[in-house]
Parts: sequence; structure tokens; C-alpha cells
Amino acid sequence: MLRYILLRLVLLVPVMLGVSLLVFVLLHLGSTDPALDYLRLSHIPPTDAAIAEVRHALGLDRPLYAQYLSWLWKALQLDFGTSYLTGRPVFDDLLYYLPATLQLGGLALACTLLLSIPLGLVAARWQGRWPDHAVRAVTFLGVSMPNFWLAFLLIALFSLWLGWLPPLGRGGAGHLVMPVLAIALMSMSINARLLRASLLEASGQRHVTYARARGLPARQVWGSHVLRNAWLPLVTATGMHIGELIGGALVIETIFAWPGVGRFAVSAVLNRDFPVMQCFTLLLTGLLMVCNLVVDVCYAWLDPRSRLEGVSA
Amino acid sequence: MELVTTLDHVEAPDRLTLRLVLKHPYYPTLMELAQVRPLRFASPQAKPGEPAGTGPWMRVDSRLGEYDRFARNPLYWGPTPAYGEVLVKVIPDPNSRALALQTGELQLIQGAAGEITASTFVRLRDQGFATALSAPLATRSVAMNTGRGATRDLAVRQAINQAVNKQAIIDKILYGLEPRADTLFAPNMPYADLGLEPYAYDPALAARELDAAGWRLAPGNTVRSKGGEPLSIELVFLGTSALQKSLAEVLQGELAKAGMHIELRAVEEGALVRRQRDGDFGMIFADTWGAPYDPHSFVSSMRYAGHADYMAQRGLPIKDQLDQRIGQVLASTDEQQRAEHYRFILTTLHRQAVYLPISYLTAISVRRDSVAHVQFGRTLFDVPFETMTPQQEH
Repeated sequence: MLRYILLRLVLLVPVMLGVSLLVFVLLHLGSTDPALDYLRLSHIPPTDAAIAEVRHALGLDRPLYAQYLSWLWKALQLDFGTSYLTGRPVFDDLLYYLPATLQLGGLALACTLLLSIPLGLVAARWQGRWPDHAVRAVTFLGVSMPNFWLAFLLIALFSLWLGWLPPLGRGGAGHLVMPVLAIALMSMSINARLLRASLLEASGQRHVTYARARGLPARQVWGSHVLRNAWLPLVTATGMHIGELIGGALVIETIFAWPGVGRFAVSAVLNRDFPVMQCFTLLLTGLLMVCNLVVDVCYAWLDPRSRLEGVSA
Repeated sequence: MELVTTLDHVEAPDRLTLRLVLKHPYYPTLMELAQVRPLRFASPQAKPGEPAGTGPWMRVDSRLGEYDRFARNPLYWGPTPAYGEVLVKVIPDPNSRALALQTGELQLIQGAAGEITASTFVRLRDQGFATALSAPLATRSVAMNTGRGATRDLAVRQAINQAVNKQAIIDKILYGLEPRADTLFAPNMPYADLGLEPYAYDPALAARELDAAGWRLAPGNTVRSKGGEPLSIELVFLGTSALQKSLAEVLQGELAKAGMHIELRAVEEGALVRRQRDGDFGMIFADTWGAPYDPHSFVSSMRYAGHADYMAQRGLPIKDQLDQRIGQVLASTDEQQRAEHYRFILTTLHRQAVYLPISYLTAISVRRDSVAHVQFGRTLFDVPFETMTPQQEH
């Protein structure tokens, strides 16, 4: 297992390099000029002299490979340059905003798991009866409703009409409820439906029928034979949801004025703030890869077959 | 801010005197010193980056991306503001701003019209919130390229001005919130009240003038042409702006009725600036900068390549003379002479129909009853909090 984890960690390096190169090239192949973007964001008229000066100052007058290598060398020292928009070091800004996003994303993930598992269990246990219908109706809404729309509905209900929760900003626990719900509902719904389907499939397997035939108590049949096999797709889906949750945070943070990385990144994308976009993409790639590694380790722990495959790889 | 390049050196002969020595006369000097983000003259003892000023408020606390808190400046020379503190919150989404006002999280939304959408403004007004619109502060307009394509022809540019039903645009898209614009600058801007005759909405006249200029509609065709060149114009707009997209689509429809084909081109902001700079457009959205930059800074920029206005005007036969007059007006110390220069510049641009002014941009204000005496500042960016007073909410 340790060898497998080390191998995956080593693989992080070429992937991060590949992503950094890809993002760098894509950003520089676009229809806009970083020097013009810099001047626009600094409210400086884009005269020929100003553009030439900025090109030189930002090193944009050098060949693309030299620019990339220079950026990479600095990035290895955690110097991702300064934001065109704010004029502050990009890495410092991202680190400043990251805890708020991790708080939101972490709670949304916890909420996804804590709600989807009981819902999936209830729906499968009472298949075709009213608890199943209720869960399916809620999860149907959850997977269909865009998170930004849900966010506005939640604000209208809990802040505007009922006055129970603060509508936006970061502060106490009350500030977390609506953004976390808005981000988590879709993942929670997908997970609940997946677990339900997975449980029903596993409960129809022959070994479960034999377990019942052997006279094992229903609790033991579910615990040891059905659930154990039904968890696996859920673990994979949860790994995929981490990306979804962070993607959801990009929109939700803007709506709830949540001072997180997502809102910072959206603003950078809209303003073509190159240094921020580069750093954010790398940060997100690293975060997702580590999360996927954790999920794969969990998978290997739950399913010895994949563990053996991983080791042999 | 041309003062930067006009400034020769600065002297401080005594404790209370600062003397600016300019390379040549520049009349907007005091106006540029009074801007929200002015040129700063710092003493060697001043700490770089530390806010300094003489206004009614002092920034006392900030949280990046969340808020700035301002307290009364005890050394302020004017009347003491009624409020002890102003908290300015960062709320990036316009709909969230409106909801925050409705829930009482905010007491006031004030600023440029984009702070909330026009439809939200109307909805809040209908719900009983106190709303107000300022006098015109800038102009929403479209610049036409006189150096390229069909818009090289004066008749085409004039016909465009006559064929667009601006009032319908204002009523349907802008919810009637912005006054109709017939000239590049609103008459309340300095030197701009010239009584220029507007291009009235008259599609029949536009068609006749296009016919007379040789842009004819062949039987069975929907687009006019002249000497085999179809009357097709590329209109560049900001793709991320829903409002510009709507305006562009309406302009396309209006001009199609007059036999002009408008090709819509949505671009990102960076690409928009590049196209403005390179003159790579037939028509392009180019609002004026608004007070306090209109008219002097805006007119000044017309002389420099890199601005949409320069690129739009470069095909005018009298562009050199226009630029010369702009240089003269900025250096003029005689009020009457200055007015005369402005009359020439603005009249020329109007008669040459370089722009399609659509509406005058205004600042908006929506407030809860708990705030009284809300006024507008002199620019889109000024919010005079010092005049506001608290009152009991109904």
C-alpha cells in the first residue's frame, strides 16, 4: 500500500508540470495580449509606448519557452507573480482566500456524505414504498436544479421571508447553512440515488440470497454482505464530487459574497488576470489529485482486489 | 490624466504653499487634482501605501474581499457627518446586492447603473423602496469607424443615427431609466450645451439618404449595396455583458429594417480593448468616461492611437485639424476661446456622425427608509455619505 501511495505521489510531478505547461500555452495562445490586459486592469491607456514598457517589464518580449521556464523557476520557489488586478502577490492572495473555500467545500462534502448515505439506505430498504418515493422526489429535484438558482431560492426563503439566516457574507454558523446546502444538494442527490441503486443491485446477488437462506439475521445480511459491496461505487462517486463541489463553490461564493478562492478565481477569469489563473489552475489540480489519491486509497482499503492491482501496477 | 505629462516640477516654498510648474498651460489641472484617485504629492516623510487625505472619512478597518470600514475624520474641515461609521461591503453579484437590501443587511445601494440591473431597480421601486436617478453623468454610445468599411461613408453614419429608435431601446431594454442621448456629451457637461440639432428617428429619411448616396436595395435583396459592396458592418460588443448583447441585437434588428446588415461579434474584454486599439471594428460600444473626465480627458484621448475614438475618427478628412483644436482647447486660458474650440470639436463630431449616442448613463440610488438625505455626487463614483442622516424605519 505504501508503495502504491508513493508511486501516486511521484506521478503528481509530471501531471502538475503538464498542466502548468498546458495552461501557460493556452493562456498565451488566446486572442488577447497579456500586456493589454495588464494596462486595461491598471487603467493605463494602451499606447504603443506603454505596451512596449509593460511587455518588457513582464518579460513578454522574450520567447514563449523562456517565459515558461522563468515562470516555472519562480513557481518552484512559490513565487507566482503579482496579480494584474490587485497588484498583490498571487500566492499570498490565494492562501488568504483558501481557508474560506476549504471550509465551505469540506462542510459540503461532509453534508453530502452525512445526508446521502441515510437517504440511500432508507430508499433501498423500503423500495417502492413512500420513503423511497419521497427520497427519489427530493433527489430528482436536487440533480435537476442548478445550484445558483437554489442559492437564490434559499436566500429568498430563509433570509427574506423567514428572516432566520443572514443572506450573505462570512461569519458564524448561520452564514454557512445556505452556501453549504446550495453546493451540496446536487452531490448529495447523486450519491443517494447511486447508493440506492447499488444497494438494490447488491441485495439481488446470489451470495446475499445464500446468506438469507443460511438464516442469517437481516441486519447481518445488510451489514456484511450488501453494504460492504455497495460502498464501492459511492467511494468513486465521492472522489468525483470533490471536483464538483469546488466547481460549485466558484458560483456559490459569488452569490453569497463568500470571500473564498472561487470568487477570487472567477474575478481573475473575467478580468483575464493571467498570474492568478495560472496559479489557481495549478492549485486546483494539486488539490484534486491529492483528493483522488485519498479516494483511491480508501477504495484499495475497502476492496482488496484493487489493492493488488495497484501494487502490481 | 494629462497633468502627469504636463507637470514640469513641484516646489514647496513654505509650509502651506505648493507650486506646480507646468510645461505649458493646462486648464483641467485643478479638475484632475480633485479626482477620486488623484495625483498625490507626498512629503518625504509620508509612508507609501498609507491612505492620506482631508475628506470626512478615514478608513479604520478592512478585510480583503469582505468589507472596508470608515469612521468620521475628527480633523475634517467641513460639517461633522451624522453617521459615525460607514461599512462598505464587497458583494460581487448584483442580485445578491438587491436581496441584501431587501433583508436589511444593507441600507443603501448607490453608484453606477450596473450595481443592480435595471429590472431589479424597477422591481425594488415598485416594492416601495426609495429610489432615485442622478442627472446624466456619462454617455452610452457606439463609435463608428470612419476609416474602414461602409461606415467610411458619412451618409451611412448619418443614416444609422436616423434609423435607430432610441426611445424604444430605452423603454424596452433600459426600463426607461436612462434619458435619450442625441449628442456625444449631455448638455449638463461643461461646454457641451451647444444646441446641436439631434438626428431625429426617421427611417424613411435614412432610406432616402442611403439611396441618394448610392446604397441601393436591389429587388429581392434585403441588404443594400453600392458598386458591388454590400452594406455590412461588424458591431463588436462585450460578450459577457448581457446588456450590450441585448442592445446589439436590437441595433441589428433596427438597422436591418433600413437595409443594413449588422454582423454581431461578441468578444472578451481584453479582445475588445485590442480591437478598439487596432481599429478592428465597424461599430463598437464605447461609452464616454463620464464626469469628471468628460469632456476634457475624453476629448484629449481622441488624439492618441490606442483609443477607440482615435481609431474611429482617423478616416475624417479634418482629423488633423480636429486634433490641433483639441490641443488648443486644453492649453487655452481664455474661457471664451475655450468654449469656441469645444464648439468646433463637438459640432464636427456631431455633424460627421462619428458616434451613435444611445442614452445618458446615470447613477442609481436605492435605499431603505432608515437613511435620509441621500444625494448624488458629481461623478459616477462619488457617494456623499457625509450628507446622509439616520431616521426611524417605517
